[in-house]
Amino acid sequence: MSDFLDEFFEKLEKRLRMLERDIMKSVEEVFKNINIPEFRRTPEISETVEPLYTIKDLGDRIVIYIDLPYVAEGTIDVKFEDRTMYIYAKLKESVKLDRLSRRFRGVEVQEYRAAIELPLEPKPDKTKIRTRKGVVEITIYK
Amino acid sequence: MLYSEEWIGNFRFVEYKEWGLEKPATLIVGFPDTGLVGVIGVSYLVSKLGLDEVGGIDSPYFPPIAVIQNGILRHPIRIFSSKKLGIIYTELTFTPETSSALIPVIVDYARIKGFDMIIGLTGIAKPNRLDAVELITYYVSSLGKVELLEKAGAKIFENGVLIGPYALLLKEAMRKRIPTHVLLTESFLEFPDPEAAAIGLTALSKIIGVEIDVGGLLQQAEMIRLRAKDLMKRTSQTFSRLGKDLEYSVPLHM
Repeated sequence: MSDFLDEFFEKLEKRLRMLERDIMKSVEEVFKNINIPEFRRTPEISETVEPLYTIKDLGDRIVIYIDLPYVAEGTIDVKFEDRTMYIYAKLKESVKLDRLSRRFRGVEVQEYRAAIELPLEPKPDKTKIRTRKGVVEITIYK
Repeated sequence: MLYSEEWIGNFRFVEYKEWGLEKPATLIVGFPDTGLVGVIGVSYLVSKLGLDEVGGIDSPYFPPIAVIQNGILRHPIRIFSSKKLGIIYTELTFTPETSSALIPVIVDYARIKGFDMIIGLTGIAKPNRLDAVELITYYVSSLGKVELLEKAGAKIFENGVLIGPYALLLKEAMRKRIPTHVLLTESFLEFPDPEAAAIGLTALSKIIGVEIDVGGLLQQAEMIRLRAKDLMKRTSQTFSRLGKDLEYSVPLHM
C-alpha cells in the first residue's frame, strides 16, 4: 500500500512539475508578444533641470555631449562613481518661468543636475573633458 | 471666432478670418526636426515680422490638444500670414503614419490657397558640429538646381538621404508639381540649434526678398536652447522610430 502511494505521489509530483513548466512557458510567450508602453515621465519643472545629453560610441572611446546653455562660467562640476557620471552646473542667473506662463509663478530655474549611467567605468587618466559653446564634451577612452 | 472650416482628408483646416495672398506667394513650413532649426527659425520669423495668426489645422490623428495663446484658443498646427507669406508651424511631433497623411494635405492646401512656392526650413546633422566655425545651408528642391537659392548662398545637397516630414514634403510637392525647396542648415541633431536657425533664416530672407534681422535670435540663443529643451527631448524620441540615423550614413551609390 505504502509503495503504491509513494509511486502515486511521485507520478503526481512529476505531472505537476511538467504542468508548471508548460504554464511558465505559455506565460513567457504571452509577455514576449505584449508591447509594454514606453515609460513616460512628466517633465519636472523646479529650480533644478536635467540637461539634454547624448552618448556616442566611437569604437575606441565613448563621447558624452551635455547641452548646458546659459551656464555660469566655472561652475560645471563632473564627478564619476563606478559607472555613473554626476554633472552639476549653475545658471548665469536664475530664470523666472512665470515670464513664459503664469502657471509657473514662483518657479525659478537655478541649476542643472544629472546622473548619467555609462556603458563602462571611466578611468581618470583616460578621460578628457572640454567645454565649448555651452556644450560639455566628455571623452572616455576604453 | 471661426470664419470658415474645411476638411481635407482627415484634417480640418480652420480659418479665423478672411485672408488672401498677393502674388507671388510663398508658404513656409516649420516642424520639429533636426536641432529644432525649423521651429526656432519659423517662430522667430513670425514674431519678427509680426505675422497674423489666421487659422489652424486639427485632426483626429492628433492627441487631444488645445493650444492657448494670450488667453485665446488655437489649433495644434498654426497658420500665420501676411500679404505674400504664409506660415505653417507646429511644435507637435508626429508618428510616421500621421506625417504621411498630413504632408500631402498641406501641399493640397497650398495649391488651393494659391501659393506659388513652398519652403521648408530645417537642419541637417553635422557630425563635428561642436567645432564647426562656419555653418553651410544646403538645399534640396523639387526643381533640382535653382539659381535663386544658389544666389542666396545655399548649396545644392548633392548626395545623401533625408528622413522625416521634410522628405515627405519634397516628394509630395514634386508629385503635385508645386515648386518646393527645403533648406538644410548644418546643425546639432539632438540639441536645439538657434545659431543654425539664424543661418537658415538669412538664406531664406534672401530667397523671399524679405529682410530678417537675425541679431535678436543670436542674442536670445542661450535662453531659446534652455526653453526648447523639452521639445527637443520629445523630438529626439521620434528620431529612432523614423530611422533618422540613416541621414548620417555615407551614401554607397553616387
